[in-house]
Amino acid sequence: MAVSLGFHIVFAALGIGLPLLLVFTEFLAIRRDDAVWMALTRRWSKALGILVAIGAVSGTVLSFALGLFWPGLMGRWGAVIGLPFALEAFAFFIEAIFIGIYLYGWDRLTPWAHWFTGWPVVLGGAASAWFVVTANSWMQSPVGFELSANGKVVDVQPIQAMLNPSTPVMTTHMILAGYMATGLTVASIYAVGMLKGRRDLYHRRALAVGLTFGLVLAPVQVFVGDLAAKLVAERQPMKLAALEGLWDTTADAPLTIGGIPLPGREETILGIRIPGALSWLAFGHSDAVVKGLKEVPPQDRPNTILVHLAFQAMVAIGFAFLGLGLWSMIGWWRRGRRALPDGRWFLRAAAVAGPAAFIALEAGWIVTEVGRQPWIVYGQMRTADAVTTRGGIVWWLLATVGTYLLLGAACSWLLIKLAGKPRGVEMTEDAAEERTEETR
Amino acid sequence: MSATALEVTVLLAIGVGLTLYVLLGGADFGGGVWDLLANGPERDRERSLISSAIGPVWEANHVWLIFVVTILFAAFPIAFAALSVALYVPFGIAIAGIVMRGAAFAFRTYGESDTGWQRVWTRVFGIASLVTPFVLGMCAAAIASGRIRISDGIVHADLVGVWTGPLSWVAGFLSLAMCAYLAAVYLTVEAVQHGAPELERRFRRRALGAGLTAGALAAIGLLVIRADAAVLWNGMLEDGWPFVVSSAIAGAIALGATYRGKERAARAAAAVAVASVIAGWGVAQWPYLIVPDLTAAEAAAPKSSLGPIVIGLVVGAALVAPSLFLLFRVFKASQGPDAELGHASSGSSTSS
Repeated sequence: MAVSLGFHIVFAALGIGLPLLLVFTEFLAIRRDDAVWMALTRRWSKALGILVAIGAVSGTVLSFALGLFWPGLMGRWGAVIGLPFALEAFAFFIEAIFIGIYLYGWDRLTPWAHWFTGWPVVLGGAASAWFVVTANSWMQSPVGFELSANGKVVDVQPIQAMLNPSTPVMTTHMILAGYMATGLTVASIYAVGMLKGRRDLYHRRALAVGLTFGLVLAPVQVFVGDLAAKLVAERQPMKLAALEGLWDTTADAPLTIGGIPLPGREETILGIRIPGALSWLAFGHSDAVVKGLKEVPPQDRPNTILVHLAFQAMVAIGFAFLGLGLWSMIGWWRRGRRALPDGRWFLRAAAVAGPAAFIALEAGWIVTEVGRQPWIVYGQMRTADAVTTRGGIVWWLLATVGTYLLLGAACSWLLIKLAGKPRGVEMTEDAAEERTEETR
Repeated sequence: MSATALEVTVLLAIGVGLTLYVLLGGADFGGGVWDLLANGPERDRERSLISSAIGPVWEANHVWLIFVVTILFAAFPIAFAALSVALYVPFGIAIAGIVMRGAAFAFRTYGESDTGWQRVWTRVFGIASLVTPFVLGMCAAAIASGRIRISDGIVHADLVGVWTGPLSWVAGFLSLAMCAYLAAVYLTVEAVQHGAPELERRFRRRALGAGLTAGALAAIGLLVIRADAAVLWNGMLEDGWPFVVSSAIAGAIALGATYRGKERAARAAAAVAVASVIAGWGVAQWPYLIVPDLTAAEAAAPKSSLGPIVIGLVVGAALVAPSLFLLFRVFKASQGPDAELGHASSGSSTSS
């Protein structure tokens, strides 16, 4: 399940982000009757075709896997959290229908009509992401039900469950992450191309669009991320303690930057500590008491090493994106606001940004999922009670990993092929040529 | 306790979703089967006809399955959990098939033509299209045949036995034959639209063959139900029989229309024949969701959950129905003969 989700999240992020890039580039292509923008749009729409197909099927695996691996979760809580999944099906319908029209409708629709069919893909993608993440945020903040005296789930309010306290922040954080990761992936692909000497208009524009999408959102994302952490502080104190590698409950809690938590010795070594900063970040004043991991017995703590390191990585990458954004802006300013920097170090930084965005995405997912352990539904159901009683999970895992490695490899290979072409320096001609070929 | 109006409404929506999945998604699988069986000098043109027919719509068609699964899980969570435990193995095979089918089709469409990988993906696409509907048919029979037992909320089902009874084998072959049949009927229409008489002739012949096979399997299925699934057989005798009749009549009309070259009438009648099989199955096993221990009323989520789901269904249908109409209007409306099919097994997207 974890593997499936970790795999799906990559395609889902690109699947919700890329359509937004496409409606932007296609708008410019049509509006300015510009062959280079059109060539980019066409090229990326093929990438989208592959990504959405893989995203659709890996998403199907998840809808089955919920039951296959977690019958305990579904049987008991299905009535509470089923609604967003049902609604997600509709959002996905809209996305899938219009992706078909968008990908295959180039020569059956007028240019502007075609452009319009991109919008339902954008909105459907964002809506599916929203619905799915509400279910996850419910697992962090389970509300919308009562427990009867004998422990049965009663008085179910699925809408309240869907709009649980974690929903606004978590859904925003995830959708923004998807857009950023897409933008930066695009940027990094073309930064690599430019480092190899392909510095034509096609590559420059692709890099500029990708970086802009990725980095404009970075400050917003840092702000939303801070809200997310405050929410965790309020609702899931042990998760916060694990994120920060904080063992002892204390007022004036320090913020630990870096460092390695050692569960055996119940301390975190090698970090830089900023006194009072954690209390201030989490609760707004530096003398606030922050609970430490020692509050609960070891079996009730999440995997502190993993969660702490993942969190540090995510935050570090987030701030690195802020830095890269500043670098881009200053460079742009110094070039008379006409072009982004194109020095080798800048391109190298941009090239690393794409993979880094996905590391941050996966790290964020580890933070939220592993950080919730040992609970599957926070405070209500332990993961061990929800998992299937069927044997052979190991085989499932191996088969899943094997399949996804194969698909991931095949998919990346195709996408790299797509990114590599067209090669010409004189872009306008190439684009025109490609256009005629593709509209055949 | 009997089912409430809300429960029946949601069940009907699931039934409609399942029917559309078979009629649309099933045909996409059937297309994959014909892709696997394509041979002779017309092989490449057949495959490109299949690709161009499936390409724009398969993802939307596939969502019907996700719809069925998620609505079942939201509205009847206990049934969903029980099925997941009981049909752990075949569901696993089916989702593997779904993943490989979709991925292989995408890779084939967007990959470079005439490479070794292209042949590999084509083969994977075909095999996955064959296995998936077969296994899903076996699962359907497992649900109806009464082999999945549930007592005190505990599911009693061995890993393999529940879905490999006699009825499951017939249902697997029937499901496969229906998918292949629908695909052949639809592809005949597509071939006419593309102005490809040779392909039209080939798919017409296949439609006749697959249709006769499906009809025979359905008849055998009735005999097996009588011997192997008492609850279902009684349901057939009481309420299900009108659908058996309508399926037989529509099937006969469809075969006649195919034979006489009226491919559009054949398409409509074939859809009615297949939809009747699904409807007959559903009605015959009523009120059970999982025969013979779990009824719809027992498995249903509380009213406070079903209400928002029904509202969601109405709003969702209002959004999805016109979108689907647009999709099929753009790609499936008759346009007269268009681009030739000779090259480009990857349809409109051969890369430069």
